[in-house]
Amino acid sequence: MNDTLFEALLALRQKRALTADEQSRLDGWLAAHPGDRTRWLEEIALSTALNRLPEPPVPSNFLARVWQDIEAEEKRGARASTEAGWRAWLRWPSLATQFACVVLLLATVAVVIVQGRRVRSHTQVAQSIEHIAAIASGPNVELLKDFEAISRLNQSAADVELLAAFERER
Amino acid sequence: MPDATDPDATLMLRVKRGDRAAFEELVARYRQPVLSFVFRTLPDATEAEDLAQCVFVQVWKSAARYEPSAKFSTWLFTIARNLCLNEFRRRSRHPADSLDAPAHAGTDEPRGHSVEDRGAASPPDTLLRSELEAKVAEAVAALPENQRTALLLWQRDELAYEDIAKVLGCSLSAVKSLIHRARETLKARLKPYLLNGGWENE
Repeated sequence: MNDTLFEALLALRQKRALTADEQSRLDGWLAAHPGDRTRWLEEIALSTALNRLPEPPVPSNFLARVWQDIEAEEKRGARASTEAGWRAWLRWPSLATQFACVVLLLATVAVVIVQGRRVRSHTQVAQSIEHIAAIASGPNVELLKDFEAISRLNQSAADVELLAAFERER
Repeated sequence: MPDATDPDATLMLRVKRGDRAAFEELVARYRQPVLSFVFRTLPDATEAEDLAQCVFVQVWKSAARYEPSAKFSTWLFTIARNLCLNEFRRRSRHPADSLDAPAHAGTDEPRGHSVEDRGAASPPDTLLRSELEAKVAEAVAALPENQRTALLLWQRDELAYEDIAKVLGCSLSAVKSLIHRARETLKARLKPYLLNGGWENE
């Protein structure tokens, strides 16, 4: 026999009563090792004391209260999910929504700017045409009817005598 | 698949399908062990009842996610312990409700002893036994939470070391060590009562 037997019997006794055979082996051990008797008694007394700790009485309506709590929880859960649905619409937008809003805003601004530029350039073109048209207005058609004849005249030499006559009359 | 030797797991699988009768059977089986377990952690009878109810509410709510990978009792006591620890944390944030405060202020009655022993005995025996049990309860309540939980699950709820390890989330050797240290502490504190307290064998 060795210490293992004592420990094994002790472990068994902590869980259940010993059988007759186990008890006789224990008695043999304790007769040979009287110093272990105190430890044995302490261990058994402690197990007994722990098993005798009074248990709190279970209320007779325990189960009814459990069901009541479960039903209350389920009602709370249903109400919370409904409220959460509404809050999801009302609460501050999520990061993804905020990002989408910023992108939309930037796109709108870009479109407005491009459109503004297009409109301005159309107006400028129209104004330029009007301006150029005013500056570059051609001579009257009546004045141009003898254009061909005039252009055929030899203008290589100026009529100096005629010019001199004009100068004298002035 | 559920362990064939664990009928509770089979019941729990019925609960998972919404079977109220199976749930009621589980409550009937475990309300006393759960209440006792919670009461040893939160030694106030009313609060222990509330918390024990919460344990079963949690069982019902978690039924859809239940997988019988371990014994049902292991799963149940894990829920119970987690709720107790949450309560501890809540109280640590509100020191006015601290567990360090005596459960029965103004009396000498130790924490965890608001329950009367219903065993029949003659008045002197009752007195002696009450005093001894009060000392034991006081010493148990003074143990660190993990030692107390391991010891009581092993001693009173008869869980195997492996199941206690799952409840506590630690190794098998750690569980044995916790139980050993708890018993050594109790023996040291209760030495005079254990040897002279008349703890006759059951």
